[in-house]
Amino acid sequence: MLDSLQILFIMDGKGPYVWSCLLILIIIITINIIIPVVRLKRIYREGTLEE
Amino acid sequence: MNRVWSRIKNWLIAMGSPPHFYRWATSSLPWLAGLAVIVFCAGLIWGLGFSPTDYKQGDVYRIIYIHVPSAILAESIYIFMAISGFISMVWRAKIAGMLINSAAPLGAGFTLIALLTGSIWGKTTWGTWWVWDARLTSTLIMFFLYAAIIGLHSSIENKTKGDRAVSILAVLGVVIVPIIKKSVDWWQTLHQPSTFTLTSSPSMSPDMYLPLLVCVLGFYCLFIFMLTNGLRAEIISRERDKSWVKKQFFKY
Repeated sequence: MLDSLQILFIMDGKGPYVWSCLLILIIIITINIIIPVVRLKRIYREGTLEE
Repeated sequence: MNRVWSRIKNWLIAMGSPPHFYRWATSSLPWLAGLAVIVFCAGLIWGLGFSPTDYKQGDVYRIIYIHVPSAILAESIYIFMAISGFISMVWRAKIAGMLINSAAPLGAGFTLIALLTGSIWGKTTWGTWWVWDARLTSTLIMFFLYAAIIGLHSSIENKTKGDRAVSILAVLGVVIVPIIKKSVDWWQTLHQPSTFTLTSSPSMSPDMYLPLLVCVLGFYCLFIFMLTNGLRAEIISRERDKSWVKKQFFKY
């Protein structure tokens, strides 16, 4: 099990290239999901404070 | 058939109303998120973990499961924005302008993913991070177009005028999409021909091609979820002074 995970992670020395692509994907998607949530929360907070 | 068409038409007209869309988006968002996570993860796990190794490139070809769906989505989002821009200019639908504003950061994000992952893939296969190749350069221009749309809208105080300006830019800029698509046929490039074509069967083995199709589907599901999520914030931000927002959102 650990051996196959290691093979998957290393990918004959090409693993860092593949996994860094996955990391870039996750980071950009997370930013794009979080920004609208933060924006909504800020509007809600401002709206509540106005009242 | 006419009844079905009329129902679809009525539903689309109703969706043009920001309060109606907001209510629909709020109730649909958990389902969209669930679907996106399932299909997106299934495609990536299948492609990165279980598809066979390529006999020429080895395992590094697995970048295809991130790079190709991102590139397809980057182009699709621009076409979607151009259609929204056309609707915004012709029918003055408020929601169409909001759609462009919510889709532009997502398009820019997916274009950036396509450029960065392509660069990493290029380093291992071509031996360089970047070449001023027709496909790469035209994709970079599309990234600048996305950036211009985001910048232009945020620089205009009046949102109606801003919508009009970005609609024109989105409609005019859509010419970049066929240029990107055809760049590998029109010019001598290092980039390989298109992976997906409507006119010929795929050159890849089904073991590699099927996970790629699931990845593309997963990316589209993720885009629909992210667009709905972004559009909710855009609607509330613009309609914050309207009574329906005050009643529903601020509860007063």
